Amino acid sequence: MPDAVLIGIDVGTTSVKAVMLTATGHRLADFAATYPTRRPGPVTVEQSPDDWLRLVLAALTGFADRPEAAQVAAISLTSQVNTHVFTDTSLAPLHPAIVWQDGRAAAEAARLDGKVTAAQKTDWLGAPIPIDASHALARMAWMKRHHPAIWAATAHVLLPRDFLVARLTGRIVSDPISAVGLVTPALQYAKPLIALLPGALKRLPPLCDPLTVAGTVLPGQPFAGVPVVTGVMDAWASLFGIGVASQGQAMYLSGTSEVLGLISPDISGEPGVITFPAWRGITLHAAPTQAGGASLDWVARLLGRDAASLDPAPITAQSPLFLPHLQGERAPLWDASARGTFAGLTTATGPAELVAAVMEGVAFSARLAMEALERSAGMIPGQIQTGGGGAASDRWCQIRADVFGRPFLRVEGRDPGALGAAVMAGVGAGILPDLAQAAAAMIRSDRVFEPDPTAKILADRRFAVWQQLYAQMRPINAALA
Amino acid sequence: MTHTLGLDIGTFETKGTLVADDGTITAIASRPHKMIVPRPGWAEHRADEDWWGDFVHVTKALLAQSGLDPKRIRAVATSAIGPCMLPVDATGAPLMNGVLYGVDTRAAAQIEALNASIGQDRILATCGNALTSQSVGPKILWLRETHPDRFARTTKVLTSTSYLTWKLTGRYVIDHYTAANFSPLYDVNRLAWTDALADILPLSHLPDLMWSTDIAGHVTPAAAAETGLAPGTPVTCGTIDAAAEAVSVGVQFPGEMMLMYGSTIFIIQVTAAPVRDARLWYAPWLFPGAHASMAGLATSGTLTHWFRDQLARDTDFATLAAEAAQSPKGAKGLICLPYFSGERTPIHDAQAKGAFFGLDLTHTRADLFRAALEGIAMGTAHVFDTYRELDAAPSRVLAVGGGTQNAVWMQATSDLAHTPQLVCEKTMGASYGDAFLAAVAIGAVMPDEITRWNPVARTVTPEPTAVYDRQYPLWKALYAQTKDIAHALG
Repeated sequence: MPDAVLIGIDVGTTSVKAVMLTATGHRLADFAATYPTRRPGPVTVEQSPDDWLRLVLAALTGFADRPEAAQVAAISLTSQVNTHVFTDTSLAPLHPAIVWQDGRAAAEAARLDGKVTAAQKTDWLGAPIPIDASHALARMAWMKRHHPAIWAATAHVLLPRDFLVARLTGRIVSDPISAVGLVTPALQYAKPLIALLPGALKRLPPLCDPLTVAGTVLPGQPFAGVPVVTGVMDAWASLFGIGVASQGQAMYLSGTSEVLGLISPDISGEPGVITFPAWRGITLHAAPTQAGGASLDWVARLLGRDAASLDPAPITAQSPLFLPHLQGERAPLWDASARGTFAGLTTATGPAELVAAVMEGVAFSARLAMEALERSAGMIPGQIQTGGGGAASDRWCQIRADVFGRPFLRVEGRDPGALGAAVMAGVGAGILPDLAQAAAAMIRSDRVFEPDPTAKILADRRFAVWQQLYAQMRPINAALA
Repeated sequence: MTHTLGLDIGTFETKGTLVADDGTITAIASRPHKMIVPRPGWAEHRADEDWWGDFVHVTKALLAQSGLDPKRIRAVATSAIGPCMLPVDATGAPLMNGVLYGVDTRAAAQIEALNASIGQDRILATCGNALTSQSVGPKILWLRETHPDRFARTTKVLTSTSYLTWKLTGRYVIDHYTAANFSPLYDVNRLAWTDALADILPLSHLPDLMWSTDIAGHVTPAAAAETGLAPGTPVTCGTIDAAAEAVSVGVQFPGEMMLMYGSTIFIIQVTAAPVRDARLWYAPWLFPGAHASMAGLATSGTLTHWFRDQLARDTDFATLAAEAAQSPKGAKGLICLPYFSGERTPIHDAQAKGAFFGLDLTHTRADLFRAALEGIAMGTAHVFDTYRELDAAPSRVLAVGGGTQNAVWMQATSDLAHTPQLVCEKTMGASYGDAFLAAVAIGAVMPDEITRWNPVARTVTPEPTAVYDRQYPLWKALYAQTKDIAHALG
């Protein structure tokens, strides 16, 4: 069915991106629009579910005007996770969505976390995953305590993707990979854990495989009658959108932050990385770092320039170093007190040197994460596949290839989440046989960045000094804040 | 009313001031010149065109502007960038351009050789200072080694003020304060030239040593004809510009300190007893029996200029200063090491580097600029700590230079160094100090009358600041923790 057309939609942290393409990877149309985030208090971060829905419908309405609209075989969605919508029985939101960065439920999280031992968590979840302020149970406990009336009226607690699929199809469903911290290694709800909060389980959507068809688009909406494939969380969808779906493949997703991934059946128990339960032969070792495009945007703001216009200076042994921990660091250090540092500055340092330091520092933080993944997965990938908005800069991709000492294969399209959703739509609707073949058919490579041997030697030396800089800063970081 | 004439030769400009005996300024004139950089690390002025030529031009301009009868000018004093190295022949004619002070680093190899042959401890014991690019001895050795013909014709090696005094009076003189920079040729213990450490040139080839307010001689008829000054007008020995600037704001007696916010922070404190410490610099002061202890950072104005040129090209210092004032004290947790050109006192680490620590996504240019100013202030506080450790804390600090216009910087310095700073009414600089020194030399005023000539206009008072108490020890720790990394970056 070479003429089949697929639609993928990604509801990210700041924008909705959508793509319409053929099953052979020919891009027909795309859509991107940002929506607001509100921060009513120091730790509260909210979005409006209606904003997401409005933009998803705008994307679909635009696509429906295309001549290829009649060939659309399936739609799939992906979204940010650990963001929760509380709705009534008619799927109307009862409260603004509580976004993953929101910390309001910290007290409830601590109370819940104190009720279970590490051994119990390992028993129920396969790993001692902490219950933090972004955990669904903590969010529900917060709602129950602070807004008992809303809690009483709440019929469903949904992820953004769940909410949107439900509004498009009328079917309430989620998938076990996106239900972070709630499922067993066998991909079922961990009922003893969820039972800690009475009333939680009945409000959670039933789980189904990400490649199953959740339902068809309801009449009266664009693409009415077209199947909607359940899909998965954004980091996983991006994996497929970058063309990574088989054992031994490595992902470098570059967005607001850099997310590294590696597929391997072996699990060593390396600390600092996230290992997902095996699904359809894919065991994903993932390491989300904190720095990335956000660091470049920050230095662009500092320099009063547009991030896209920043050109890095060539890196030498004398170039300044940058620790990109502007919001602490996630994988593999998980050090919330870490802070950013520019070191080695001289009067000869200019904007281009600062930009080079930021690009290199972000790449170093990603290399640290990849090394942890390699230990976790017991394998070293020969090539890294990359995509996302932060991969648009050729110079930055070259710096990454030099820092990793390996070729970087960049894929076309800066919307890997939406592309990955489209890949899943193709497999879920039976257009393409499996994820690996679908990714191979639909994701086109753009360019290979080969490491420069001289730059690699320099990068190795500077990476050692960069790690030393972080180690030297550790005892001081807490006191700096 | 009678007058004195002060004239100062700077790196880029010569400035003259005609001052009445009560301190009133009658006329000001100036003339720009260029710093010649024949190759990287070299810095020169042309002695006849830039030094003497400027003197003649500016003096004539002052006389024309004021309409003053030259006989009513009772004395002339000069100061200049220094120490410089100018070889002259038997007729007093320059054999090359004047080699400038520490900005000229041509004698690095000679410094290394002299350190090796003499030993740094011996140099420190005799000269009070280590050899640096500021030292004139290695530059004379450079002349001898690289231009033997020229060296053979040299009968005197002069500094900039010596050359002016020679042209005016026909005498070769130098003040002790400047001579202390002629290491390893000047013995600070005996206040005399020495060839005990190194045989670089016959000591008779060096100018006669005097105190700054000693009368070196009188204007010759030839100099009078050229400048318009009256023949016979007394001319003092003169000194280096920074010392004259210190005098201009009333730094003369023990415990008084000048804190100069220039392209670098430069500090001169007058002390009753010599302060000898490898972390600081020493020289005899301008008058017999008094001593000077100096300190300097490697950057300050150069760092604020770097910041504007690299991070804020679209704006000016006034805007940057206003922005910095919007950032709270402590710059929201940011700390800056100001060592963008290495550091001089007290850590003497040429390989030190600049850094910003504690960065997060909320920090803006305003926070970074405040942090840079506070980082320089911490560098200044480090110098004050060193003085306190040596039981040589200043009793009165007078701030001068362009940075005194920046309220954030001034307040941070007072808070961190725990010292009030006084700013005087007149900001004329060294030439005003020269005019005062000329008046002292002829007994027209007493040395303490500078406070009447140039009264204090405002005081910056230190405020107890908890965030600085927390950050300053961290600032020191950050240097210690990252020193090896800075060195590894070349």
